[in-house]
Amino acid sequence: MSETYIPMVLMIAIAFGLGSALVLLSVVLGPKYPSDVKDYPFECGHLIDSDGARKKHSIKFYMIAIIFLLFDLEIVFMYPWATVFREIGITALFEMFFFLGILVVGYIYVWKKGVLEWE
Amino acid sequence: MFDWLTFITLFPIIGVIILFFIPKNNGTVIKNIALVVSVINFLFSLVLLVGFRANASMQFEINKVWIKNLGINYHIGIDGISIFIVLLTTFLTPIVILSAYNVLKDPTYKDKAKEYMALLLILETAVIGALISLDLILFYLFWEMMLIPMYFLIGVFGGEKRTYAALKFFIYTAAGSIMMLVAMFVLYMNAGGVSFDLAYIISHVHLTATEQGLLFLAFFIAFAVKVPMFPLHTWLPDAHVQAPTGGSVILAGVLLKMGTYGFIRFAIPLFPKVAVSYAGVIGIFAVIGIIYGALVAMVQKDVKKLVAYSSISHLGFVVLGIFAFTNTSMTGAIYQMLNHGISTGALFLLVGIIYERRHTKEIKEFGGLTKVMPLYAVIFLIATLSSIALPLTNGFVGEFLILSGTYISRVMQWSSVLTIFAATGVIFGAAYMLWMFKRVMFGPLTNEKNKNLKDLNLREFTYLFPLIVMIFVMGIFPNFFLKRIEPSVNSFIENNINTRVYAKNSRVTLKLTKNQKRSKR
Amino acid sequence: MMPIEPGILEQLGMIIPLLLLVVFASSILLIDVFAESEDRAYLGYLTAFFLFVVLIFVAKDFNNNNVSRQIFHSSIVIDKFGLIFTGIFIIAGILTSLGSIDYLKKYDIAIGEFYSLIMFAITGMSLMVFSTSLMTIFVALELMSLPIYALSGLFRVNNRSLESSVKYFILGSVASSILLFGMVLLYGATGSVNLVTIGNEITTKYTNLKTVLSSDPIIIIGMLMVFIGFMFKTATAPFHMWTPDVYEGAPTIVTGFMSVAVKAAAFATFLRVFGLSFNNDALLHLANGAISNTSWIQVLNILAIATVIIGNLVALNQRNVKRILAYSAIAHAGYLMIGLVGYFITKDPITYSALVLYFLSYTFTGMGAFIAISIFEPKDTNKVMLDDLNGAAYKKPFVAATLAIFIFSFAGIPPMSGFFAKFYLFKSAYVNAGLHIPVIIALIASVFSVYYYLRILVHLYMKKDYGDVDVKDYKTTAGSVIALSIAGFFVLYIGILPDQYITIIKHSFLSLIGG
Repeated sequence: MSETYIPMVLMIAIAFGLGSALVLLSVVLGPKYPSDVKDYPFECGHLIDSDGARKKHSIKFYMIAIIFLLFDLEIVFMYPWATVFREIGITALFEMFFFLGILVVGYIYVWKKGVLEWE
Repeated sequence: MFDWLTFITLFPIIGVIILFFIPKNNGTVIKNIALVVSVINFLFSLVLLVGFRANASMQFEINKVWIKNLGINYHIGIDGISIFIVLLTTFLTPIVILSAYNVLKDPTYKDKAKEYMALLLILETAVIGALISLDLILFYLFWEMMLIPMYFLIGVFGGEKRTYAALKFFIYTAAGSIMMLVAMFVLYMNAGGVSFDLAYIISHVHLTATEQGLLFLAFFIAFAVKVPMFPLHTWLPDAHVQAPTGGSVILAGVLLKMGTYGFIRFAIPLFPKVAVSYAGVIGIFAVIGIIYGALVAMVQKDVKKLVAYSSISHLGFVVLGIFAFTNTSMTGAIYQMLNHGISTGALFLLVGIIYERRHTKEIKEFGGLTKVMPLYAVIFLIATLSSIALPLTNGFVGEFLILSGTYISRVMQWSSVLTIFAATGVIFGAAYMLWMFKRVMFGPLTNEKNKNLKDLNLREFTYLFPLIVMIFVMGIFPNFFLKRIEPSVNSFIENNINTRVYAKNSRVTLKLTKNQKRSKR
Repeated sequence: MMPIEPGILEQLGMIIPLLLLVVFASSILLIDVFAESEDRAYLGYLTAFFLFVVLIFVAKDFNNNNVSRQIFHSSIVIDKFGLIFTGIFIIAGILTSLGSIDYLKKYDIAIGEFYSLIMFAITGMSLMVFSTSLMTIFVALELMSLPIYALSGLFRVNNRSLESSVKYFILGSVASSILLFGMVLLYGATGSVNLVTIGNEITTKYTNLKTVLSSDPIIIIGMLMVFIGFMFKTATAPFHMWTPDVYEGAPTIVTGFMSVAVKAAAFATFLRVFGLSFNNDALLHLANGAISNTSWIQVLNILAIATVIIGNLVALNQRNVKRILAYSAIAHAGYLMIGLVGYFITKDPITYSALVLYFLSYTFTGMGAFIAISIFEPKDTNKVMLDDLNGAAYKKPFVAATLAIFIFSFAGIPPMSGFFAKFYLFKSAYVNAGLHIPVIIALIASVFSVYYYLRILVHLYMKKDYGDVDVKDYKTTAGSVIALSIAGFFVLYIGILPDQYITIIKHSFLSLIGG
């Protein structure tokens, strides 16, 4: 029973070991040229100014991000579908069209609601 | 044959539907329609009397499957026990509607005539329905249905503390009947889980003595709250005092009878042995109710409250008569139910008339009314005398039968002693009623406000007159009623008490059933 | 053993109601975004019409459906049991969409998404009661819950509504994850997500509880977690805490939908999962086991009693009408739980039909009551106190009269449908299942309930001061009137002639067994 877990333990050990070894090596071996700009907190292309973390961002960021996530995830369903497409045949095509049809409805809704307009 | 019973039960509902389509500011039309509907229904109900044959059988009986899946039948019928209470209901409803013509002129209620009339008509349907039901659940359905219109009559049209009184009335009665519902489940299960039909359950039920006792208690409490028997009576004075005149009349005249009727129709036939063995205890409570009601009535300052407490006393007689289990006393009890409906109904109407004129019911506010309202005083006197059971009035016949029947009861323990105590209740009754009459009607006309009181007008006289006629008719020609009531009562006593409790073969069947149960195990 | 599945077109033909729901919901969404006018009232009527069309299809399926077959790789089954509940959800949806028109107008919320979300939620509920696979159940549950989370936060600027939405979302997610964990454990223990297979697996493997406990305690744990998940959705004590806050904060009309349809869906799925998977004798009677000397039927029993008592007692002292109705909804969940336990014990058509009849009656009563309350709600507070109702009956006699009918139906007073529903439920639990103590306690508790129900009527009819409400707020258009008339009519109709409904429901039981 327990020997079946040996590969897993090995896997974890190697992953952990390799990761920490690489980090340690770069700390020990790598050259260091510190500067003010490099030490400045870094956040997605923004410089942190006096507002600090409370600075307001446009709601559009969230909208776009959520919609991207949604559509991106839905596309993931197409991969397993593609692998069994031959076995199921033409039925699968209609099913996928139905699925995409629902997505298109969502897309039209989002579009008409003006989520995609930046200004 | 045409189904007269269903027709009479549902006819008021047709009236309600007609009322629904009439605009609410059209007060006169609404009142007249309600009156016409109720009078027509009364005339139709006379068909029952004409077609009724004076024997013990169920008549106008209809038995149809209603809810097959639940074992509930639409089983209705009337016999000598219920026919006159049905007639009393159809008789009182038009009177109450006519009496309400003036109350509804009050600005507060001006726009509510439709509601008032509709509630009265729904109440009529529910009461008749409960009186003719011969299926436990059908009865329960109408029994609970009575609460809704009465709740609104008290709560919307009542006096100052109407909300409290309405809620108290509703909760008391609902709490009582819930236990009855559980008891019905047990009976249904015990009788094989086939039918809720009363006759079926009576013939198929096999219960141990303890079970019978508990189930009887459940039924008894539900009905005793409604009667109301001491000590479950506390809702009654509140409800009566707060209710509008019409509500009081229906409450006293008909609703209270449902409790005593329930004893006769359901509680006793279902559990005759328990009913007989506890007859003495119940008799004691009934006598306590008679004397307590009378004594409390004596000290009341409010006329309406006095009449309300007198109801407790009168209904005590009825309960005593029922549980004495003699033919005479039970006939008297049923007769007394009708008397009480008529005489107390008349008294509440009369109190309502002076309340309308003076907006007070305090006894000390009045005095010497004979001088300004002679006709009113005469009618009041007749109703009072009927209430205290003077010979030639209806009350005498009822109370005489009850007391003489109870005295010879072989079922009720110490029945002779109880009769003597109950008879003192008659004397107390005469005392408080006549004392009240004296204080209100005689003496000097001291109060300024009373000097300009108007005597009865034509409308008021019209609705009081039938009651006065009935007081004398029932007092002088009781045989017309008794000969229709008696066969049913005789067979009731014979079937339920003599056969099922005292006859030897009943014990044999009991043993047999026990053996059957054993062999089943 | 897997039954042979019909062809794909036939399978699609069997789920036409579900497909129609999705299509209609999407079209409402599109109509909403392309519509020119600001007025959205017609969307309510359109939704009601669409749902009515679906209802006709459901009714047709119900008449033709005699054998229930598992389709789509045994993930769903179209049977009369599912169809009857789909009918109940759709009825609730029709009443909601008709009743919401005035309510949304009162708050100037002209959004078509409301109707689309309602329809998607109904899709989720229907799918859930058709599911025979744990995975489909979970997906359907989420499809039902997400629109409801959004709907309860409909008033974005109202803090109560937001609180309700967030609270419901967080607690609902926790419950969902517990449910999912339970499902995972069941899958791990039996190797299948199909309810029938799980049931067969448990039946063949285990003869009594000791063997279950010694070899696979995971089954018990998984089963309990699934139960907790459903108990949360059905608002049964001790998982009822969220109900009053969420019901109070959510828009009144959504509260009605939640208290009726969501609860019915959760109960129906509870019944389905239990009936198919856990009806093994070993699991039914933990009495043989080591945990204690009680079967978990008794545990459910105690929880049902606790729910009834908590719901009714706490409601006694509330002054907020929506909270009163929320606690009364908890109490009704308790009554239903007693019925459900009765069904678990007897598994006969009588207890089953009692339970479903109660849902049918509760749908009309509950939706009607909440629609009427939503009309009496003072504008912009999203809160109805008892004093707000003072004398309202004389401004809107029709609405008040129907509300009185619904209140009496809640309280179980004849001739309203609530009477026979309650009567049948308690009768079957008492007579057929032998649950004497719970029924007696529930009956006593329902006497208490009469008090707080009547308080609503007292304020409606018997208070002379009219409160601060402007008469303008009590606006009713055809939608609410139609909804209230339908609900009122059926409450009275089922109350007077329940027989045919019971017979229909009993037919749907036979197909459940065929599962």
